[in-house]
Amino acid sequence: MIGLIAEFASEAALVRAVDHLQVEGFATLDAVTPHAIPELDGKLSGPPSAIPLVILIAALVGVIGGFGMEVYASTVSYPIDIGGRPLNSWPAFVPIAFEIGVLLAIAAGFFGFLIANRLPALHVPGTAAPIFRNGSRDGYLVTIRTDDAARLRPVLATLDVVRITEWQA
Amino acid sequence: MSARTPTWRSLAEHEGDPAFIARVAAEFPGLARVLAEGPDRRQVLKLMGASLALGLGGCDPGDPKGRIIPGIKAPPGIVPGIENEYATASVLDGYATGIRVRHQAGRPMQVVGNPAHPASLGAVDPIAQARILSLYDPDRSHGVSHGNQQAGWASFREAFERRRTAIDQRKGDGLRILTGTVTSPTLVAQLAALQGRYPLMRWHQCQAVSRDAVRLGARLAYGRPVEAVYRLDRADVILAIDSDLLSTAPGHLRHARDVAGRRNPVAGPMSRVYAVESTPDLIGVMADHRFVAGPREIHQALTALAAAILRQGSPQPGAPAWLAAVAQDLAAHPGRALIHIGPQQPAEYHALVHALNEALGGRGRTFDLIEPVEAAPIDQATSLGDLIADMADGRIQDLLILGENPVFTAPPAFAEALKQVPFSVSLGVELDETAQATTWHLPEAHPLEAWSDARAYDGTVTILQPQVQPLFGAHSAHEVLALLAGDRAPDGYAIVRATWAKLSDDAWHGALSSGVVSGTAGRPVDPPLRSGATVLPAPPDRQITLLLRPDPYLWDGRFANSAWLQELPRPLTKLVWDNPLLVASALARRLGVGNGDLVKLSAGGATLTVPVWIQPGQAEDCVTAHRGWGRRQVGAVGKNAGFDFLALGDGPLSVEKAGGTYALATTEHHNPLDAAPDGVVRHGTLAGFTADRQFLQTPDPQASLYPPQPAGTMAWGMSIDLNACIGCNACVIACQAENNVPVVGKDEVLREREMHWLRIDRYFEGSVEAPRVLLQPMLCMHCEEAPCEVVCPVGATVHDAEGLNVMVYNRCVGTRFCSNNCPYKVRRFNYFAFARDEVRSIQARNQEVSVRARGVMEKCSFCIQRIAAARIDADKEDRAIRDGEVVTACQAACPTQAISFGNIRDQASAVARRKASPLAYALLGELNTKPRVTYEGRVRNANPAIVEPSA
Amino acid sequence: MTMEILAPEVTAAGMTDEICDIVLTRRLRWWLPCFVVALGGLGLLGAAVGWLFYAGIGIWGIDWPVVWGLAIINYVWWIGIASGGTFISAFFFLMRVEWRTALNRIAESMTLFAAACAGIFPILHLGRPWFFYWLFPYPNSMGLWPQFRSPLLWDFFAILAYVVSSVLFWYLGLLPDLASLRDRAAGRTGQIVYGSLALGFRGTARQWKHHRAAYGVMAAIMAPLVVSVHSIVGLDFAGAQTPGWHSTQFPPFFVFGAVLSGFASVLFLAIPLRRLLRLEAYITERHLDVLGKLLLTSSLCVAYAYAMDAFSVFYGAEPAEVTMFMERAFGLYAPVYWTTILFNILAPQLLWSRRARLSQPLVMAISLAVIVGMWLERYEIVVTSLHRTNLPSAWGVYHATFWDWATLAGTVALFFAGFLLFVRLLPVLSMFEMRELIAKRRGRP
Repeated sequence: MIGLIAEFASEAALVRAVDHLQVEGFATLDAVTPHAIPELDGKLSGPPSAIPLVILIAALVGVIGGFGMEVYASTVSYPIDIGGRPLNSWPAFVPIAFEIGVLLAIAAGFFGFLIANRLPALHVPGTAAPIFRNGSRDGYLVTIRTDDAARLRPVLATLDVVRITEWQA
Repeated sequence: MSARTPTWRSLAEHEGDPAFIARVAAEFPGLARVLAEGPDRRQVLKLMGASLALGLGGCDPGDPKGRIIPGIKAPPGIVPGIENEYATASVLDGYATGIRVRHQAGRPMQVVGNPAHPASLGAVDPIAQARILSLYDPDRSHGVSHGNQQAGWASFREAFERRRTAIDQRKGDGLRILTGTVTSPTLVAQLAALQGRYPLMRWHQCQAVSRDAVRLGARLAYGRPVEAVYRLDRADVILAIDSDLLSTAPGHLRHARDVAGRRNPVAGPMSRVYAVESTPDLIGVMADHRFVAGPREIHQALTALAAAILRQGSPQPGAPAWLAAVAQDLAAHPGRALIHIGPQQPAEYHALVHALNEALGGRGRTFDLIEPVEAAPIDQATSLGDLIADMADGRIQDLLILGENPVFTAPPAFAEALKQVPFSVSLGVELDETAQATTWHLPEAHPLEAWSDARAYDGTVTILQPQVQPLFGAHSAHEVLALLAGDRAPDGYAIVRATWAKLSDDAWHGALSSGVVSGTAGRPVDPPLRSGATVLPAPPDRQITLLLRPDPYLWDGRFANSAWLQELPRPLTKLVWDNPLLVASALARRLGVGNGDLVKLSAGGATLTVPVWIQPGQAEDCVTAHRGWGRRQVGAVGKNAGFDFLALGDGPLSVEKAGGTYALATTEHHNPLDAAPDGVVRHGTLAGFTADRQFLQTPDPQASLYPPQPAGTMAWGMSIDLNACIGCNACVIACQAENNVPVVGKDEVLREREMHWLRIDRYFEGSVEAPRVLLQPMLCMHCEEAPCEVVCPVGATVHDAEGLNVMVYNRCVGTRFCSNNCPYKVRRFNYFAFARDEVRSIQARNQEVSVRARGVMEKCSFCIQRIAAARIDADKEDRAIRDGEVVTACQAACPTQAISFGNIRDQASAVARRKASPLAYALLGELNTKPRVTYEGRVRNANPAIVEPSA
Repeated sequence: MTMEILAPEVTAAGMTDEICDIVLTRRLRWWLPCFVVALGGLGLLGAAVGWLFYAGIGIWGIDWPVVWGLAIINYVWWIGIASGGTFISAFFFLMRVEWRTALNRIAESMTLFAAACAGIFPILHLGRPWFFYWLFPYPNSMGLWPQFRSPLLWDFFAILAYVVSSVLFWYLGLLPDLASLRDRAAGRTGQIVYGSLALGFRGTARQWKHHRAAYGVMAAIMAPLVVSVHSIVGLDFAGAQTPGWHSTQFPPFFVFGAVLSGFASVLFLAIPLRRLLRLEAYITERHLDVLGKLLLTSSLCVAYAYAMDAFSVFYGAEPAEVTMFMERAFGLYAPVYWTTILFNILAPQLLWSRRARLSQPLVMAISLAVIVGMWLERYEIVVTSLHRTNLPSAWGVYHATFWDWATLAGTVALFFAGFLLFVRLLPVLSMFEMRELIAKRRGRP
């Protein structure tokens, strides 16, 4: 099993290459790109991200939980006459509930992102190849793992590859 | 320092007790050093507190005879937590006002009123209340000194015994005793005895705040000394001419009560009060009509009054326009009218006023004449003059000054002449100017430390009983006189008891517990009015005159070291820590000066540069200066406070702008006349009231969204009658004493950080020349829908079940949002650790009230500690708290009973009835805060015949 | 000339290299002196705060009627400045405006440090700052809770949420650029440091997928968050019935004010930064033009708020309100009020002219005027309202002391110290978004 890294000059070229390679039956593909490429969704990166859902849940937990805490504190746990106001002055409890919801939502978004990508991962085997550095500059990289490089190379030749690097996986 | 010296109660035991002297010398470790280093007052005060604790720790475990209460260790009968009160009197210039001293754990802690005493009926004035502070004042004289060197009682006795032979030979010639006004039967008896032993001895009297004119006036009118006692509750019409009836006159607390009783139209028919004043005083605040009159106008007014009332003539030309109406009003109320004139006015004026009162048929009705209260009513100015002359001529070898400070209060000539006296002794509570100038100084026992007796304004005698063993080895005037008389072991108790030997033990104990010796009130006398007692001197020229008046709180300076009194806002100027020259706005305009600008005064060779303060309602041709300030030799508190005007004398002077300004601290931080108090202090005329009793009511604010809170049978509330409040500040000090309210000092007041929980707001209405003054005591309103509570993020201020807005000091983090949201601005914030740094000693603090830390908000609590105490008593007896069982400190002190407090849910309670008054209104009620404190609006019984220029 | 968002010659590679070089290799002669000055200011802050904690807040000028002073003013001012970054990075991200890309990193970083400066004041201003945590609902043996009706508590939560969210949002956006730095870094240290900071972000397809999702949704939350924060800051005042505060328009009023000072601050930082770091190719005149228009717009919003503020006073005709307003406009503090109008309303009107918007010194001047003007506005709101409340007997004045000013100066230094460190150590442009933008434009016909 070997791995090939093919660098392309443009987003479009990369997308075309990915389509072609998949048609050709090379399944174990991944891309490393200088910026997000929406067209790759559903091709390489699996199902749509679940993070928005996580964030929504966290937000609801925060809002409901926060509001619940305020009501519980003011009516059950610590019922004290404040300025003759009703114990359950719910309108006054809204802002804090909202802020707690926001706090949890943002935290969920950030840490959800880390977890979804199993980050932090400071060392990923086989990413030492210099070519990878272009991935955060202007190189659009495709990594292919295959057993018959013989079949792969001609296929790649048909695509406008900038350069190809090989590495033992 | 907590080591006990053996109990001692007489000098003999102390002769040559070096340990005692050493202890006294070391009473204040470190203090001298710090004082030398100077300005950091806070640190000095801290040290004082500490060293004071040591001082107390050093004093005696108790009086074996069990007659008095010890300072530190509780004898049998003292249960911690159970308080006691002991009656005694607060004596000022000889006149006694009954007080009680509240003891916590056997330690005197607060001065409260004595309801049994005729001069106060339970009220108490600021000076009396501040005595607790002076009792513990670490600056007090704490040892005999000779030539300003530490000495002992023993050495003084030896020194005096050495002189005695010479004195005996001279039969007392060259021996003089100088006292203030004396009403003490004991002291008089002692002096008489001494006189008997030394026939040529002379006894001089001089009181800084002179009442010579009153004495002489009475003599002129009746040919003999008499004392006029006023029955103001019987007076329908009162004309007060430059009068101190409500502020400083003997019996002023009683006067205030009697007048105020007639000032609320809901309670009964209103009296009418006219005030004619050169400089505003409390009676002018209460008056329905106040007329500004300089010395010259006063003369005119009296002349015209004499014409109108004595000779039924029409007032002469030149008489003020309003005079006819006033004279008519007085004449229309025979037997129910009264005229009073202040002690600063000439004796002839007083004589004339006596004649007028007689003509108005007041004798026996609006006033009585009794035997003089003071023992020897002489002309003190003459007496002092003789003394000075004799001293200057070297005719005096031995001089004993009892409790007075003439070097500061008498003309400078005194100090000069004093140098001629080889053996001069001063007995004083503090190390004052006189103590420095005499060859010997003896520490005098504080009034709360000594046995004595004194008469009230109506002659009633009170036995003064010590509340604590003398803290600094001091002795009373009685003991020192006994020493002179050769008594080797004078015992104050024995001396005073001897005077009242006729009292049985039961009667004696009764007198001690009640604070009044029954049956000692002055007998009415019935001298005929001398004819021709109504000749007035020539009118004073029209020129700027200096009116030297006693400071309402520092008096003649003897209380200058009291932080409470220094920081007590003067009733009308709201000034603290200073005594600028009070001038009329017109004069200020002429001089081109404003508040705080310096002017140069010169009179009789003396010059003085002082700041001015514009006093609305001041007569244009006279300026007022308060005495008692600018003490040269005084404790740390009174240092560099104010100016001493005495050198300028009481009379004409010239004023010119000096340039430069001086920082004056006042607790009214805004320009007084730019505020329209209509809605705030609701007020109107009696005519308006009779037309519509509801005339001060406004439509209720819209109903609240919230249910009335809290429910329950107890709901504390307060009602304040603005008709009764005279602005005397007794409540402010009472609150300060009860609630451990700290003093902050002049600098912090300048930064607008004073801490008084209860303040008396003052508003002017009308012209700057002759404004009407409106007063309004302002404290926490305990709003049912308190804005302060809603905004506190930590719930440090909350409501309790009885509707108190309680402040949880320990929970407060100090966001101060509550103060922002308080429309009444009654919350005070500890910007620094004021309580830690203030002068007040721990002994003078109320153990029932927690002391607030730095960074914490505080405010009026309706004296919650008193409520709690009452609740405990009620619970023990399984009953509800009775009406009147809880009395707040301010309410108790108030001479006019302007404040009523209690359960507003109980319709029968006094406060509920006051709140039902048609005059009652809630301040800023439109904000829907539902304050538990309400006010009764001010009603003026205006004379329709008088049109006021300002109105 | 037609103003482009990007200079035509810009390429992804060139841009990435240049921005990384600023951090990795370029020498900035001006940087060290500036930083030293900032550190000096930090020393002053340290002294002011140390003395404050030792002596108590009595060292400030606040007094009995005016219990809030510079601390609260500075707090509101800083938090308003902070808003600018969030608005640009969140709102305009949602609106997919292209000019945002070059500015949002600068703006967001500004937000962070401004929010940090704002955040310390609510603690400093407490009478007993060491108990600030009592505002937090934590389990305690006393069974006590904070008082949830208090706007101050709302504020406490709002600031907490805002600061934390801003940091996380900022860091998420920073990850791809840290990866770029890691990959460009020549030295070992750089590789280690930026490598660790990048957390191993490599730009694989799935990483980008989650990144886009998370970043988008978080932006969508940051937008209402910043609005809520400034509304709550407004409620800190409107929640009280104090004359001059008790107004329903305060929440939007404060949002407007915040946006105004926010945009002004972004301009004030972007213009010199663009010169000093030679970013003209990315931050073009087009950006300045757009920001100028935004400044003008928000200034008009604030003008409306001022007008309503005056109008509602006389419409309601509460005597206390009227007294307070007359005092504000014609009394002791009148100069503050009119300077506020001049700086916040009149000065920005110059920006109607395109030439004015393109004159960088003028825009700098206007931005500075607005920044100062907004500080004065808060002074006017806090001080003039408190010094004339319902009872004339409680009227007073307020004068800030040396320590008040030292604390303000100290936080300014704190801000610049932080911002200078950011310029030195982190990419001042959002490189991955720039690359996206470049790619997009190249894709265009």
